[in-house]
Amino acid sequence: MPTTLSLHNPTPGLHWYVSRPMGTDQIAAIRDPQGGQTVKQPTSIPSPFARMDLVRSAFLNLAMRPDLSGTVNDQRVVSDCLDVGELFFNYDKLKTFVTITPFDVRTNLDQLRNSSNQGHRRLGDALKLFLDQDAPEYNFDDINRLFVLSYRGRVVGGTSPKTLFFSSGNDLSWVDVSMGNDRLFDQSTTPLYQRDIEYQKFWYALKQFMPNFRERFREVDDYLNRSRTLLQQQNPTLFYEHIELPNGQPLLTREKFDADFDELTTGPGDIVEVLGFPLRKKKSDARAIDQVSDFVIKSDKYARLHPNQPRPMALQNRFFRQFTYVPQTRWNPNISVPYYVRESWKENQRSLPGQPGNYPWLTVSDFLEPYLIRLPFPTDRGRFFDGNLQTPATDKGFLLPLKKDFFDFFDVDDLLTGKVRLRMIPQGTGINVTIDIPVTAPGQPGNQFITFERLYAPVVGNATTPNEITNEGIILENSFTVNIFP
Amino acid sequence: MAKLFVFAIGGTGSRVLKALTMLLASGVKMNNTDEIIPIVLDPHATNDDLLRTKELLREYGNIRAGLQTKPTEGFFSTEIKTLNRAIGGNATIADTYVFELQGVQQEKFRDYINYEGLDAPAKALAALLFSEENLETKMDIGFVGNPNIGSTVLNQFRYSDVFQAFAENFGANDRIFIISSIFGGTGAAGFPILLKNIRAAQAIGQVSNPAFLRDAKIGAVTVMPYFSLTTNDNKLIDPASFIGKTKAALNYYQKGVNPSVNALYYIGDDQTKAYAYDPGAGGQKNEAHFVEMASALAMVDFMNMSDSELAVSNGRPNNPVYKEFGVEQDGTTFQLGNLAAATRQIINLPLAKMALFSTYVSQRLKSAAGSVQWAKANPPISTSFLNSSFYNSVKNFDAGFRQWLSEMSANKRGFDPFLLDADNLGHTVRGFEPKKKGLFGGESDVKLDIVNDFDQVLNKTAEGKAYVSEPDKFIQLFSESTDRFVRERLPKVMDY
Repeated sequence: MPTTLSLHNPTPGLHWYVSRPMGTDQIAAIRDPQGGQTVKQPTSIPSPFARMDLVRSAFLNLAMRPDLSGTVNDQRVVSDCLDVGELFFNYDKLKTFVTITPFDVRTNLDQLRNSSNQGHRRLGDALKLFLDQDAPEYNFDDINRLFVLSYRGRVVGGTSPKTLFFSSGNDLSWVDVSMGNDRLFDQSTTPLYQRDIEYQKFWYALKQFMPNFRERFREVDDYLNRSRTLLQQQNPTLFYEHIELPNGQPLLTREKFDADFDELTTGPGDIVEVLGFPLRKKKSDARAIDQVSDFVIKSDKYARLHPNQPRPMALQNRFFRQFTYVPQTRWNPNISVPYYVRESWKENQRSLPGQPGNYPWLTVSDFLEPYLIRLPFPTDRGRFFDGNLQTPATDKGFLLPLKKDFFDFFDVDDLLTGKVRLRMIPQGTGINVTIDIPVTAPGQPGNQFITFERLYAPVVGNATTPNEITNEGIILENSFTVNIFP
Repeated sequence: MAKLFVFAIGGTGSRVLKALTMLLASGVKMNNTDEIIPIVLDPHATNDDLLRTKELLREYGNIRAGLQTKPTEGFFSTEIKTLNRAIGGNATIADTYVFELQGVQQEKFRDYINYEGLDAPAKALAALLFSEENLETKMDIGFVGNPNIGSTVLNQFRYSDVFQAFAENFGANDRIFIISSIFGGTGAAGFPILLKNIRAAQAIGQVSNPAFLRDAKIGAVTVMPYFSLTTNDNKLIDPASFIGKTKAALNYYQKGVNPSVNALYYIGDDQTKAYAYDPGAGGQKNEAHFVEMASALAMVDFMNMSDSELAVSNGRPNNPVYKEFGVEQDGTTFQLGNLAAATRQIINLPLAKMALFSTYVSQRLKSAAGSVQWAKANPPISTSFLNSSFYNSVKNFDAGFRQWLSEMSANKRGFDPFLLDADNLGHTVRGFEPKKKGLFGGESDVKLDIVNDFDQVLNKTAEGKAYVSEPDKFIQLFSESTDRFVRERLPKVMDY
């Protein structure tokens, strides 16, 4: 039987016979005993711009299937590219840690090529050769500047003239950024249709409003078409709310695109663009969090006093209920919430635990004092609110360990009526104080609470000072009396 | 007449070039040229594959140089020259087939581009394009599976005096053939770099006839995986990713390579054998493989194409063709009979001749020298000839030929066309043994004896002829006699 010495299955012929160029179908037909499941990403593309092409072909491969499935490698490459895009998109939230460095393909490249340093000339000349020779296939002629994104001082990814973004070839699992429930650059991969709807809108809008998008980014365009369909099938609520009305009327208009997203700049007028089209960034999602988060403190008082401010959240460490945290994101019980935060919540200086960006939120130490003051005598429980102290009435009483911030949200009446439940329960030699803060929890049935808790004891180990960071309170005995004169 | 410049890149390049040398030594004919100029590109200067090929080319050159009348058919009938010799008197470049890369000895890629000295924008871009592993790669052991850095390093070739000399001496009718593997490091990177620099000759400047290069007739063979390397953790080449690498590179080729080549030959095989991986000095040494010989035949095919089929306008071929290699009969070990008629037509006779020649040299020559009729006069081939440096080159070449055959036969898939040193010369070409009909209709082997049969052919061929020198006689007589012996005694070999 005749056979062809090849790795795919061409139409057989004899000797050196005219066959077809190795195109997408032929390449897909190449038998791979490893099934493309190797962990290492190939570096076999013979161009300094190899990674750009790797991302291009990964998009191409995934877009061949309606469900965007493919090899582990292709999924990782595309997911990492989307991660890079999401970092650019969330620049405002992350700018403390992110820098964007432009590389001008004319001036910076000429500097390299004219450098007195031989190594720099070598690099510059090789880049130039490929930028010229591969220009039609990779839109190299239309590049003004490439933008390189670094996180915590290390390069993570950049803009690409072929797929808009691409990631570096290094292991990026050290990047400690999560978007929703997705930790970026980790082992698991996340297709676009499962990401933040605002980010998805950004991509679909680019596809719609960037000139010649399909000609320039064909592989990505195919991917986006499939992604849009998958969103419609798998999350119709989001789709019909953000992308298209059920009657087919598009919700992503140019006006809305311009209104919903600001141009991404690294400084005044310094626009980050791909092939001349300015990229966009996510506006603050405080409003969206305020509306959907189950953790927002239910307080008419706060809303009344600060009508146009986002309503703060109360976040509890070791919280296990299925609460919505930020849009499209369930609370992850593994997120650790500090008991004490130095930054001011009132000035929105607190970054959200496990999520990029700031939003006002409160924790135990914002509501409970470090010291619990024990009075040298019992309080008159008939006349004073005792914080539901569960000790005999003849025992010494306590002052309520509430901080001033508590009263930004609640009044004394709220304590008396039990709208906010405070309890003080003896535990060993100390007192365990719990406070249930009511939350709006629009996605949950009935009334919901976040519970803060602190154990106060006369000594902690050998220490007689409290430690708010480890949530250890101290009981102090002090005399408070009021003399009325005359 | 037009020249053929053969660029052999990386380990596969060297091995295919070796196969080509064997074919040419055997007398396989290259059309449309009478001069082949191989240029080997490999940063791995101590690579065993490269050294073996270099040695073989040297002996081939010695043999040709020893002949007063340069043969135009039969054994050693094609001129293979270094670029230096092809240019002749004015050449200032080194007289070698191997181009040595500068600045790669013991150097890391990081140092090669002076990464630390880059300004912020360039450093950021370099850190994005090249991984930390890329930057840390030492380049004296090849590009170890990282053609993305190889493409930067090999680009220096265009500034070399070798490229300059090649560019200046490239004529309008000359042709170029590029051999590379797609799954390794050096070859995969070097092929596009070379291609782009040739097609972009006008932009480089300093070339007297850049349009000749821009519109050059270029053929290339892209060798896909046909062997694997024994898996061993922490080795730089990850054999499991050979296919992944191939696919990624082919994807790039679709856009970055295919439109620029006149004739692109693809070959690969998944009936593979695992070689031990050794990237260090002494380096990769893989056994010869049938795929390499088929790849060498791609050059023969390319040279059979007419100039008009290979027309190029403005650096883009008018009718690019893509070819693959098929055999008549599949199998884990091939003999000549497995091959397509068109392949057999090219190689059966020359290789069978070389096999007979090799058998005679090892089994009979010593005792025949000076005593058998053909060796007695005009001029005599005596024992002193057997001690000459010319004959030493022949012996060395023959040793290379034998090793090449024996490696191909032991490989997977195997190619085992000959039984060398057979008692019965009728058994030399496997699958084409001459048979005779017995008295009762059965078939039996024809017994062909080296003394009674082969010496007779030698005597007959030499009869009445006088040769200009012992070397001329030795090569010419054996080329003609083996030719005659195959045609007369092993006729099935010629039955295409």
